Amino acid sequence: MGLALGLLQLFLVAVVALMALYTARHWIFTFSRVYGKQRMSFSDVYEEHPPEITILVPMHNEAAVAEACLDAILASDYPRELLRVIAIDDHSEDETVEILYAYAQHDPRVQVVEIDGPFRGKANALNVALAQVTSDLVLVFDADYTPGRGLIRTLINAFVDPEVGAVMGRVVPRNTSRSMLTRLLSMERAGGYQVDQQARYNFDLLPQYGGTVGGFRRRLLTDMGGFDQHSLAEDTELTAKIFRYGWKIVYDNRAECYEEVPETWQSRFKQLRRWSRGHNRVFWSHIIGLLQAPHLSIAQRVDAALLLLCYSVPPILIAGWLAALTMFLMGRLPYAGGITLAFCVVLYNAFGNFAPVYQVATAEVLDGSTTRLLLLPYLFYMFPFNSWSITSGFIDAFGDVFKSRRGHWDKTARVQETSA
Amino acid sequence: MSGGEILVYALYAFAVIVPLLPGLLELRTGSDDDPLRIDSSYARDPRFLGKSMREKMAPILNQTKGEARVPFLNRKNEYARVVNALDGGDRTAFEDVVLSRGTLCVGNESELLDIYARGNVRVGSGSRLRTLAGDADADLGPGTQVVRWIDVNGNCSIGNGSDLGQSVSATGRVVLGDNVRFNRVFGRPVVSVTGQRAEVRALGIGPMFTTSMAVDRLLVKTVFVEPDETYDVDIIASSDVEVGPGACVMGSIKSRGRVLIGEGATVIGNIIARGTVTLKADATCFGHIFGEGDVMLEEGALVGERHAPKTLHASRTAVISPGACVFGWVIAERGGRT
Repeated sequence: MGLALGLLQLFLVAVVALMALYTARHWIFTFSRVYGKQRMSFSDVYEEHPPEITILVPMHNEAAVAEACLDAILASDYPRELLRVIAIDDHSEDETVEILYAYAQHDPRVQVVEIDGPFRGKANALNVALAQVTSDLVLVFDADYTPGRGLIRTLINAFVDPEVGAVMGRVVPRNTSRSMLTRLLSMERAGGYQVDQQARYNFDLLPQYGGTVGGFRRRLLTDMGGFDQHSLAEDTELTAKIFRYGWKIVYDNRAECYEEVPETWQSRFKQLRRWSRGHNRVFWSHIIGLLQAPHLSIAQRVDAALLLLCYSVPPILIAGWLAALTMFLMGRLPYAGGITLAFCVVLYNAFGNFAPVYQVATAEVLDGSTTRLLLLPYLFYMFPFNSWSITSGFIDAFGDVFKSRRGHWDKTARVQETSA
Repeated sequence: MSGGEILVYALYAFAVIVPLLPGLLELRTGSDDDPLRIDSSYARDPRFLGKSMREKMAPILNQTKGEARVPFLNRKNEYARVVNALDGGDRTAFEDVVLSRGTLCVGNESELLDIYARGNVRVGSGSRLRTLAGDADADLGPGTQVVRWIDVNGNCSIGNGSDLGQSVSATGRVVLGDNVRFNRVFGRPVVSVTGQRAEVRALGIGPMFTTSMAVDRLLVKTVFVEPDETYDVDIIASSDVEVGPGACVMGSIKSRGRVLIGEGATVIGNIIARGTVTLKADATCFGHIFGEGDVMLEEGALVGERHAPKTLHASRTAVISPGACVFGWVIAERGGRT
């Protein structure tokens, strides 16, 4: 009993330390974005002879959005003769494939690849398409994305740096006005990109490749043996591999692109659960390799751990609460009483719980938002929803490992919003 | 449950709900629910300002018959003076926008706002102008102060001691006098007035469209490329990189320290550095240069190539010495000078 209580106490201290670390990270990132030196971007590259590139657009039942996405890509100012688009149909059951072939018929830049093997999912689709890519640089757009005219050039610019293995742009929801959920997701995205990703880039830490509005060097993927075809988070997997093998990721905050965020809570739950499941699998597969990577500094290794651990935090936190409750009910919670407890609660509420909210608020201010800031308290109440969906994904990932099963790709429903 | 307890619970429930109330108003009215605006039609262009100004000015010039003073873009108390040509003396001053179908010449110490001229432009020394869009060559005298920007479809010559405001762009040569201060200059090429060593050297260099010819990467702490040696790799260094005189790097250079390209040395690819980048006399970089410190081009240094202009970007200052030459864009976030 004594040993169990001791372990519980140790676990509790570890949870508090972890949360303190994340809190400090949120604060440092927020202050860096407001007061720190912003690292140079490659947006100003002037290049009259850009390299040949291939854009991969994986699609599964994307009839609602496929045309808008392909129209936007084909309207780019990138030289026609240097641009190739591979639209990948991954077992669609709607009219997606007909739409893609219609584009291929009218525009020689478009090629259709149909996935007809036993596997499905984005990672597998990208692997199949990559086998047909001849250019060194590859960009990826999900089907609900509509890149602006100059975006492709802006993203490609980052590869002037020979150390850069991948580039990531900023994702901006276009269907913000549809529901309370879309408005809150828009704020979360702002915090994640405008502050978090940019700060990580500023500090030369680990900005994340997000799997869309981004690209990578093909030879890098070839050297790494392509994506794990069963992966549900091929973007996180690539991020981990890039840093393990001594490459870098550039985040370009000016490379903005519209996307469609989930409009129903059910759809968002499924999306978060899939992300969590895939992300946690990557965490377990790559954390040791990243911590031992010879090219990474100590700060980069700490950031790698915190980045990969982020989808494990809600279950850890829930376990921490249960541990604290157990010890409290047993009268064994240390320092549980009087002014110390009150001080800790106030301190954590002021700086811990609200640290991500301050980050989002900072991002919104930088974006020039006005009355949208009044919705900030709602983010706090979204926390239980996020925790539950992420914990569900964590449990799925745990089950995958123990039962040696493969996760299946649960596609996010598209609505097609054309207001932006 | 006692009344006091109910009151405590009610107060607690109120405290939980009250932060949400202002947001309810926003959810109802949706006054700030538009997506963040992205200009999807925007494509980066060093001459963007000049082109957009011409789009506004050209219709006024075309629609106005003869010489006249006309309202400017429906702006209150703002007028455009349309002329066939202008030949002003010293201390010429206009409070109107000037649109000229032909040449535009003003003498020393003139004061001008926005100018659009379809012919050549000549501005006397010590003058001050806000913006200039020209469809032919422009010649700015010594000590000219540009408040915003200049864009010309031709060559642009800048006198000694001028201050070039936000940007200068030209389809042809931009020749900078001594002690000229600038932020952004785009030209094919940008050269200093005293000596065209690098520009003459560039004439003998054929099309060079590929910026890096290396396949492998060399990951090291510091590098010194011995004089006259050739490295066929991309160099990625966690500290300083020095390329000895006459040496050649076929790939690109990335350094977390300083980069020094020795006299007569050549880098085929790009140079990306956290510290200062220095190109010694007659050194060449055919790729882009991005320095998070200062970027210094010594006498006769060459960046880019006439068929393939590039970007020289300094997060701090950029210095273009006499005889140095850049084909493309020179950007100095904290100001550049010759």
